[in-house]
Amino acid sequence: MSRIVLALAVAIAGGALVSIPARAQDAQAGQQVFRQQCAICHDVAPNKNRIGPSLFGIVGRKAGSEAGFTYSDPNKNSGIVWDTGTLDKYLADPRAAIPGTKMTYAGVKNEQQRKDLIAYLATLH
Amino acid sequence: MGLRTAAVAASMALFASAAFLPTGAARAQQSQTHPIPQSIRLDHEEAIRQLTAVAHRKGRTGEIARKALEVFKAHIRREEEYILPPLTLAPAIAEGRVNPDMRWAIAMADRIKADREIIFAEHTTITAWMNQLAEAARRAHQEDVVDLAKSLVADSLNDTEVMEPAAIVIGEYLRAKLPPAQ
Repeated sequence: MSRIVLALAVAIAGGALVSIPARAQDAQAGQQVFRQQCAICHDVAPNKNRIGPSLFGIVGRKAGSEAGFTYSDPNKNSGIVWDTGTLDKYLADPRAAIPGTKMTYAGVKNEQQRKDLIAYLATLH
Repeated sequence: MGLRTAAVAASMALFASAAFLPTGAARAQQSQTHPIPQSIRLDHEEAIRQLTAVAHRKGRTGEIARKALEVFKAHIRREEEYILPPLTLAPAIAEGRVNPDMRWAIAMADRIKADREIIFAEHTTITAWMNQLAEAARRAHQEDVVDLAKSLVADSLNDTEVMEPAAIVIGEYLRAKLPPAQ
């Protein structure tokens, strides 16, 4: 029971952080986008850094701050805190959002896919 | 096209290409090829061998691997042309040996800097193909191909994080140490 309460609290907190209308996003579809576009480099388990940093707890996190991952200077110094807006901008075109980022990925060009992906990332708490 | 027309066209093409050929020292400089570190050569050969083996498979993974292989080989050609050769000088430079015969690496480093975004875009294209390859491989339960895709994306990160900056550093070091070219 306590797990259900905790899960609900996390879901509500995540929803508040990203503040996207519920019908405009689909975390399950976002999980599929993650699997197709991100999973080759990123893990969603806490502290599990691979080619890219763990995305557990990414929403609300300061850019370049995941412990144990070596970021590029532009990422570390960007001053970005990841929320709906900053993630949307970055995921649309990473190299334009943070010039010099070493993430060799062109971005999620489909807006709905980005929303879904961000909705999924918001569940990773 | 008749034989005569074809011959004229061929002559014009030959003339046109000859007109753009560099002459003298410039030609000698451009036609000179430089080796790459043997360890990286082995890595490239192995990556191409593995991706080629997947490209020979039937089904979606083979289909994607064939397209990815073209992109990958083009990138390898670029790397071997001017990104990786300066790294062969690292052992000598580390021992304090610098001489004017190393000057070619400065031009290569300058070219890497000029092409930085093009090179990065190639890496993103490789990542996109590897994403597709990994997804198709997961669906086909070909874990070996998923692992290969991951390792090739990791190679891109290695190039971006280490190889390309190191080649530029070598060029800049030589520029600082060698007298200006006459």
